[in-house]
Amino acid sequence: MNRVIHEARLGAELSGARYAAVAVSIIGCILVFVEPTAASRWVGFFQDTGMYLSVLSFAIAGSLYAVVGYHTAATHLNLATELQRTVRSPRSIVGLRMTGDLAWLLGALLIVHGAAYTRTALHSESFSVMGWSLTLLGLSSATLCYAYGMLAGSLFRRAPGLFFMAVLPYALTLYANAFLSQDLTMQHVARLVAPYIDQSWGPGLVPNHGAILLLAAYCLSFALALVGIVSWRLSLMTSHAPSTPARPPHSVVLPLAIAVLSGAIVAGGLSADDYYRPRADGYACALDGRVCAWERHSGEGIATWTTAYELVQEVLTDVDHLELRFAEVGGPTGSDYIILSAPPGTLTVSRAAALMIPEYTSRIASHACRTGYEAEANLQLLDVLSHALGSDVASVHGEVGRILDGCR
Amino acid sequence: MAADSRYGELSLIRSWLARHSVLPVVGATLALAAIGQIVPLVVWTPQFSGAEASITLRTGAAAVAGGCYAALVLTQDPIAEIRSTRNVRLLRWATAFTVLGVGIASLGLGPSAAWDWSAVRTYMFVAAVTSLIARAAGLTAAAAVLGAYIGACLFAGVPQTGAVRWWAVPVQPATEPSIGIMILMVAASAAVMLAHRTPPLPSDHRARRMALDLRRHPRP
Repeated sequence: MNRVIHEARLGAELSGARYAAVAVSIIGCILVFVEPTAASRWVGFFQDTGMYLSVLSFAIAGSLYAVVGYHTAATHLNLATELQRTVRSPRSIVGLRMTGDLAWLLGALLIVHGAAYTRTALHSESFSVMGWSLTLLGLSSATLCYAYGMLAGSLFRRAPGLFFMAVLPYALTLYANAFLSQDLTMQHVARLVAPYIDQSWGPGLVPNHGAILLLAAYCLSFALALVGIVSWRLSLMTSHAPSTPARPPHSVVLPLAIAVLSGAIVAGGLSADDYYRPRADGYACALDGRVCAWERHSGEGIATWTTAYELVQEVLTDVDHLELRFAEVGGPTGSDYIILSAPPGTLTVSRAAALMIPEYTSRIASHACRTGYEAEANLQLLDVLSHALGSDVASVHGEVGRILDGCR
Repeated sequence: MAADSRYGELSLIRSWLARHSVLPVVGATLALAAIGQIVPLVVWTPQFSGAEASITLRTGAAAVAGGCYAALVLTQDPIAEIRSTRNVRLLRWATAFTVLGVGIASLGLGPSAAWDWSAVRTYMFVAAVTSLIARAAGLTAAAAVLGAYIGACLFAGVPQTGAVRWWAVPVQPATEPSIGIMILMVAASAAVMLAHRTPPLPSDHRARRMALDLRRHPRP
């Protein structure tokens, strides 16, 4: 163990990745803190924070990781210096360089993850570790980018290649999203090309750790296999014995076998729905079961929905016959509930009420249509309320118009 | 004595082109322009959509092409240049103008066969900035900064309000013409000026001392 720590410290001392690590930390933290809370998809939800970090780790940090990997393999694995001046084997030198670089880079990326989770914790006034598997996936996919860079650097060793490596994660992302995910037979393979979870789960879903860890295992094992190939190639190039067998070593075969196995399971057996599962607890109802929602952080959740419900009810003069029941999407409620899905960003009373108003409007119009009930007063009040809340009045009018036209 | 063809002018230019990776740089620029024509600009995922995807693609293609230009400006042999009796500066100018010309011609032709100044502006901007960073801190730093910049454009360049942030303006497709022309002119001047300037001395101590000696006492 002491030897491993010593090697890691020596590698970190020799590594030139500290500047890239500073860049990873600064850029990542800026992106984490520049996000406006009110419109953010992830601030406040630990699972969505983890997903955001998985994308950020692969794309932005992965770009810098790939550049450092290319630089290391193209310049530091130089036959004229280290290999001839030390007694280390090529495999040992590659390992030393890799552990040194990754010690800096992974440390920097962990700072970014810590900053993002801290922001979410401060906003939600709670703490959860439910995003740990997504964080692990982010670190693994960034490490895979480093291995891509290392392999390319050991093969090409030309300066312009650095710039191809800088955009590699973005190119992979574009390729996966523009081509692979459009093809029904290849859409699972897209996850292997761009290994991150880019969805929006909201409060009702949590990560399915098993599936995410499988994807992380693919990334790590494939990265190890690529680095193994680099050191194997270096060994073959520096070997002076003519009878050296060209058989791949265990450091290549074993990780490659794990990568193929896990990659095959991901590509063949996991759909986009397998990366999350419904949340087991945290669903609550209020007002005699008329409003059900997921518990969020303080000041949001069921209390917000209830206030919005009461606000709409106050405005309406005669809606006892409606008895509308609202439930947030993803909860274990019956079919007599109207399912509402909160938009990304902070849930406020006005946003929740704006979701309810169209339901009331259409119900009031339908009721008036069936019974001859005078609905004008209530519809006008709803109109005023939706104006005040800034909701989409035009669509409400359109819906009412369609219903009343159907009446006549 | 008959002139040895190995030391003829053609051979000199050929070795110059090889040492400066000119052909790979030109090839990469042309390939990127072709990719930009083929790849559709509209890509959608929950966190990666429309305008941001367009900016990312354009910036990505221009970043690689511009980065290659920076590599061309930087990867020179100062000692060989100082020792040379030929007009090295002219060679450097010719190389820079050739590569920039190929880049402008290939990247500027948009998907609808219309001339696209925004792509040219992006290319020149990135070429100038990467050359500047590469001269100050090396190619790896330039590549790393560019990777981070593209990521920042992707994640935060266009907020949900639709207004492009000021630092993403130089690479956005639809910039106001007056601002775009200004950026283009400044960037083009900087890129050509960086090609004109003598490359920095090598960081290695012995090579640096040799280069300084040669600069003080040039050979006849």
